[in-house]
Amino acid sequence: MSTHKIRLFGFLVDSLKNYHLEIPLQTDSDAVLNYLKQTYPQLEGLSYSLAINKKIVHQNHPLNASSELALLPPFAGG
Amino acid sequence: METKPKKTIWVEGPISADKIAKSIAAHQTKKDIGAHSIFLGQVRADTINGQTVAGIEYSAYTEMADEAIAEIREKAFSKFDLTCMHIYHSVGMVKSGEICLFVFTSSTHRKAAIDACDWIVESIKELTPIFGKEWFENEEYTWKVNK
Repeated sequence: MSTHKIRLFGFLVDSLKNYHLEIPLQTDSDAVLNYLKQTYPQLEGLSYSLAINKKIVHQNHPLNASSELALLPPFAGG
Repeated sequence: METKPKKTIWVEGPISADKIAKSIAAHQTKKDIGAHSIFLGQVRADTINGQTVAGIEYSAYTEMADEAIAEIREKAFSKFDLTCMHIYHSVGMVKSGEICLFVFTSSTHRKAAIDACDWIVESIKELTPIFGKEWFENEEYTWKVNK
């Protein structure tokens, strides 16, 4: 496993035209966000959060190859 | 070890009035309850840029949402003096005028039931990864954002 799979939801599926992304392994969440910004200009101006192991990341967080990643738009339940 | 089947909050399509009625009826045997509070979220036919919303197609990061709901449930029981609580949310298409969220809290007295219901609804909106595609009558769509 030399990549992270990132699940996509909501409008991010439309913006990135996929239900998931595969990116090279990163050491922490800041590195993931930087990689995404540089690689996917479609994300510019969009509001989204990164979730690691089903928790929204509020500050930099270390990763390993088995971390479960997801990119989430603002929630719209209810 | 025997495990209970895991309760799910997810309802495919709209939540029917029948489901809500049956849920109320199911509590008639619990005679320590003196108050129920119910919140029903209904899909609104909003007008956005001159187009009317015909319905919302809900999707969710269900694995994360289930964990978030379990935490909300646990906190609700520790914060409020509840006898029981139930949460249901739609996935898939819910037409305008139909119910997409059903929160049901019960307690010995009204205040705990009402306060808990309100707190749970706010927590669901804030913490649960649910997304809504608002379909217009002309089959175009936009993505719902909570206010």
